[in-house]
Amino acid sequence: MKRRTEAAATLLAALFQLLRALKSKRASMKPSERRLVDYDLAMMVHIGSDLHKYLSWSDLSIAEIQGFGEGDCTRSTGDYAEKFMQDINYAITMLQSWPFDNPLIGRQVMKRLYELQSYYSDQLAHDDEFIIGNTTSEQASWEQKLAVGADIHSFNHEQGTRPTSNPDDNYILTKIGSWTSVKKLNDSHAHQGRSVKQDGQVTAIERRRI
Amino acid sequence: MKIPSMASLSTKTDTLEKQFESIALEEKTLSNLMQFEADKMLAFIGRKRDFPSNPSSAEIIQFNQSCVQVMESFLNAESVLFKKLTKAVHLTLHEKNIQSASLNDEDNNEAELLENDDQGFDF
Repeated sequence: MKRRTEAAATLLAALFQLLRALKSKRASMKPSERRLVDYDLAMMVHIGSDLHKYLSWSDLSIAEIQGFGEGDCTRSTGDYAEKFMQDINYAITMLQSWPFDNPLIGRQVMKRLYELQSYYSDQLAHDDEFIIGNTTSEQASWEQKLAVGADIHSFNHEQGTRPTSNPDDNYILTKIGSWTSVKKLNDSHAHQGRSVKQDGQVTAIERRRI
Repeated sequence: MKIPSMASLSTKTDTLEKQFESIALEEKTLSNLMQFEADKMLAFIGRKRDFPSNPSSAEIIQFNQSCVQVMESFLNAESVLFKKLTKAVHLTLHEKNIQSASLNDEDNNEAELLENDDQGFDF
């Protein structure tokens, strides 16, 4: 199942590469051809994100059988998740300046990409390294790219539409969520009698901080 | 409610195992196809994303449409597999519940037999 999810991620990554290549070619096309390219692009992103949803739901179903303690498929994103997150961020940055003839198509594409970004930022936020704030240099680089590139307000301003949710906010909220859960855990340890499970988690986090 | 015998349960479990195997095989094949499609896209656009085969605009649009069709096929196949998997997962969990219920029932019966066994030791 992990191999299948990785294959789907590879396909989507190839799709993002295709979008990058199309951007330069699109300039030399006729207006009717540009509209076709925009439409196909929107379809590919739409189908790709749907495909991804099916796979992530299948992973959850399998995890239900295996039990969340052992062989948890939802946590098996691994290293490819970080790389894929970079690809998504780059695609978002690129498509923000994509001159869609029809702004509605542009909005649909961006919405789908933000959903994917939100999914993977959530997956990475549950990663142990991420929770204790021990970011690697690779993570730091995509954080910077995200902070610089995720300027959805400029995109909306260009298209003359209302602002939607900011992916930067999503990312920050997931990070705050992780820290809040750790803080809650520590607070419950200070004020209430803690269970054996919580005790283990707090000790593990403290050990990592040292 | 009648609890099925252990013999029929093992048959159901075997069937479910085979069902999971077939789903896994299909998923494996689909993942290979996805990988090939990704390779095809990358070969078409080239390492430097400069379209090494110098395709015309019409050819690029045709390629895009073929990609959309292939991805739609993947989506349909995954949709069917997802439905199969969901059913199989529900059945597996149901079987597990029945098995644990029947095992508990057997334990209770044994306990009752031991309690009612007044001919146990004859001193």
